[in-house]
Amino acid sequence: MKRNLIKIAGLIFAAFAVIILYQTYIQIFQGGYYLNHPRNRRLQLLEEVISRGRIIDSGGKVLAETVAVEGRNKRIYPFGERTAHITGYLSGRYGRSGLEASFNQYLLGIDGSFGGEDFWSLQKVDKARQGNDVVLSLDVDLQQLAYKLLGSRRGAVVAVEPSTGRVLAMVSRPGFNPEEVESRWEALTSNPQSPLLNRAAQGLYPPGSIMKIVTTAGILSVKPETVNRIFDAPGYFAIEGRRIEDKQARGRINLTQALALSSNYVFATLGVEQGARVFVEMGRNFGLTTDIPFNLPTVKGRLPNPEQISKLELAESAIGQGRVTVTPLNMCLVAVAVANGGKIMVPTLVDEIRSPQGSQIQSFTPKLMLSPIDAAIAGTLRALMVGAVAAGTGREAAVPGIQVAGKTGSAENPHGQAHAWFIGFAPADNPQVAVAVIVENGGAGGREAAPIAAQIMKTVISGKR
Amino acid sequence: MSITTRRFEWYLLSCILLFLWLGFLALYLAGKVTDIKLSFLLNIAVTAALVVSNVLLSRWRKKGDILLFPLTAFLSVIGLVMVLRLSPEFAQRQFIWLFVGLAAFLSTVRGLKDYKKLEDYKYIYIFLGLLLLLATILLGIEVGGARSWIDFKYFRLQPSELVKVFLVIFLASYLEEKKEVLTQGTRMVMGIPVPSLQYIGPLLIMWGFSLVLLIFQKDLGTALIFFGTFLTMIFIATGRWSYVVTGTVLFAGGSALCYLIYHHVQVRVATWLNPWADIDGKGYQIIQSLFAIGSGGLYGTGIGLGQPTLIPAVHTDFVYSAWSEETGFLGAVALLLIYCLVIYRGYRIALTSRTGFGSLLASGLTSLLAIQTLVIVAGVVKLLPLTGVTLPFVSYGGSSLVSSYILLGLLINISVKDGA
Repeated sequence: MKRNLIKIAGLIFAAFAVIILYQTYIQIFQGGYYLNHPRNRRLQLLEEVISRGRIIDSGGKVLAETVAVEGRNKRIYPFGERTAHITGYLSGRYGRSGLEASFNQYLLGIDGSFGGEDFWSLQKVDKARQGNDVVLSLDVDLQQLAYKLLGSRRGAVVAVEPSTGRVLAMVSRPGFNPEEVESRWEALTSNPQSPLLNRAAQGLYPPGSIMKIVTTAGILSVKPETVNRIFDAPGYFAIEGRRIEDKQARGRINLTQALALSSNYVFATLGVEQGARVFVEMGRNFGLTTDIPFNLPTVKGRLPNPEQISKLELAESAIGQGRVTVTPLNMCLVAVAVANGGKIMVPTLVDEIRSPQGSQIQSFTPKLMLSPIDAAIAGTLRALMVGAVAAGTGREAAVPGIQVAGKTGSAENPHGQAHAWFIGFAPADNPQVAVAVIVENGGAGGREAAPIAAQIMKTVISGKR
Repeated sequence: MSITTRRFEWYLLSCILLFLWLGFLALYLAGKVTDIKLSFLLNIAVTAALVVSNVLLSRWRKKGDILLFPLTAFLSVIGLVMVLRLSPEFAQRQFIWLFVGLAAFLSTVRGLKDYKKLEDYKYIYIFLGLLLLLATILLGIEVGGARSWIDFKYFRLQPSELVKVFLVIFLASYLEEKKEVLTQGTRMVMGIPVPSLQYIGPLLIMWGFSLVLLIFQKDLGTALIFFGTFLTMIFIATGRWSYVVTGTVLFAGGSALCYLIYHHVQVRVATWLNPWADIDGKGYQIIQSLFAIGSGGLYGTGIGLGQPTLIPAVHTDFVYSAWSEETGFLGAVALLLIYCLVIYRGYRIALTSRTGFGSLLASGLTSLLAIQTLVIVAGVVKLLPLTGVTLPFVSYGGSSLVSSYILLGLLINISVKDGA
């Protein structure tokens, strides 16, 4: 009987051990998660007493900070609508968006560290307590330039450092003033131009001819010899009784000329030749349908299902029309892949988290996201894109003294004039910046989008020198 | 009792009283004491009651376990500080129940010196127990989803708390008598093992007992505690795993049947598996409990400084979550270790007892305490479905406190009689 008793006692104590282990898990390892859960009311109580940290650009300029106005904390955004989609807004009534939402716990300074060296209790929080600062890779001067270049047109600009994925600028127009969100909520949400939408990461557009980069990558992955192929472009592509038109007949051209002139005939042909499976697979490899792990909310691009795609639709998709839709961030990452030897780095906005005293609390290191193509294909695509800027539709993206690689697009859409697109990077041999520009209903990409990209690339490169 | 032991006992008691007054001070500084005068008087009263209990205990009991009373008194004091903090409007009641509990404890120690007498009346206990359960089923009112209360206008009683103790006394005497028969077990009839009626009989009765609780009182927690305690006791008496296995299968089968038949059981299981699906409804309580525990972190916020009152019914079912938030992981583990010490002392008494009955009684009472603690703590951390049972000695609730103190008195008596 005594031995049985010892066995039972062992079982009971083992059960206590299990509970202690599980409690370690939920209280120590998951503690931060539970404290920062949006449904945890403690968080709202804390926000009322803590002074939020600042959002700072890579040059130390303040994008968002909390100041005391007549004894009350007020959140101000010195760059207003120019950085509105990055900072987001903060409202007691309408919640929060942008980095104010996704980095809330860091800005409040409650990122799990309470369990260790601090107590979060409301009564003991110092009224002057500061949250942590969020330091961005963004360059607010570049951001302002891009915002100015878009002018009064709707559109978006994304600029990324290809080797790291650091976002240098991310602009969406029209913008909004985060300080006026509460007072103008009705107007902002009912505005048909959707100013609250971050077009750069959440706007879905047909890519138009910039999709030809993906189509080329597809054919090169199955038929590398295409590089040396000569095409005879008649000025249209006929399939299933329909014609996809080109502006004019080109006659005998090679692949470099085909991309430079953006021949619909050639790329529709190459799209159909590689087949739906290869084409869609390559689009997925470039992350067009990936849920991109970003510091701000993103939406996924859409590609048709390869099983349910007709030859005609495949030809249309290959030149970026049909049911293909993408975000500017998607297409910027396509440029990143070509610029970075076939590797797409995870795009990031936040470089590091800093304590109010200025010491680094956490830093974010570059991470590989996808490897859609090998270095050889990336090299071929780079040469093709250099050709498109040097002697093709992308001429206006040229920057004196710097070799630029790029591709234009003019995406037909049901809302009026074509969307003007440009993606590219520079310098071609040692890329420091990759950009994607879209001007909604702007018309020709070469005329409307390429010059904006040129200014951005020039500014980044001259800034580095 | 030697001078050093007595001194040790007083030393432990003074630590507990220090905790009581420091806890009270912390609550006062945190601005959580609503009625300072009353709280102060209650604290004086409980200090006096604990001192008197200790004096009487050391006078009436010249040997036996000296750790159990200080440990459980500590748990009670934690309970008092927490009830003062969480729901001061119930504090007065809880203090009064503690005095009743201490009185019941001392009467048990004084009046039942020879615990072996209990063995003679075993069928009275089971009869009383069944009567109480029947009364609950017929006259009971439903509180918090379980129909396990009888309303006496001025106070409510939860008879099942007392029934648990009766049941353990009955089982200890029954098993002591039938041990040999039960150990013989199965016969082989034409190559097939057939359990004899003596073997399977008590198992079936206890199984029925637990199912009645489950079905008529919707009290999964108490059913689990009854049956778990029974299984540990029958295993200790017989050493046969087959009882444990068959019993577990039977209980699981019964529970599965209840799951299929009763909607409220399905809801409870769904809430346990994924409370987030109904965060504003059924899942609200358990998620608030997880928020409280998670937000506590390693050191906690400090007593009176957290926000555990965001949990509904925090003073009865979720004292443990509140304690985890305000004293952190360290406080929670400390509390669990106190329970482990109590349980360790309990099993030690069972091991050193010179009679089979004493050994079975002590191990049964200890298992009862242990299983109840495990069931409620596992419930509030979402390791098991949440059941509305009390955390022994700590939770708000008079019936639980009084029966826990009777249980403690019995354990001490066994240690006095047979103690090493």
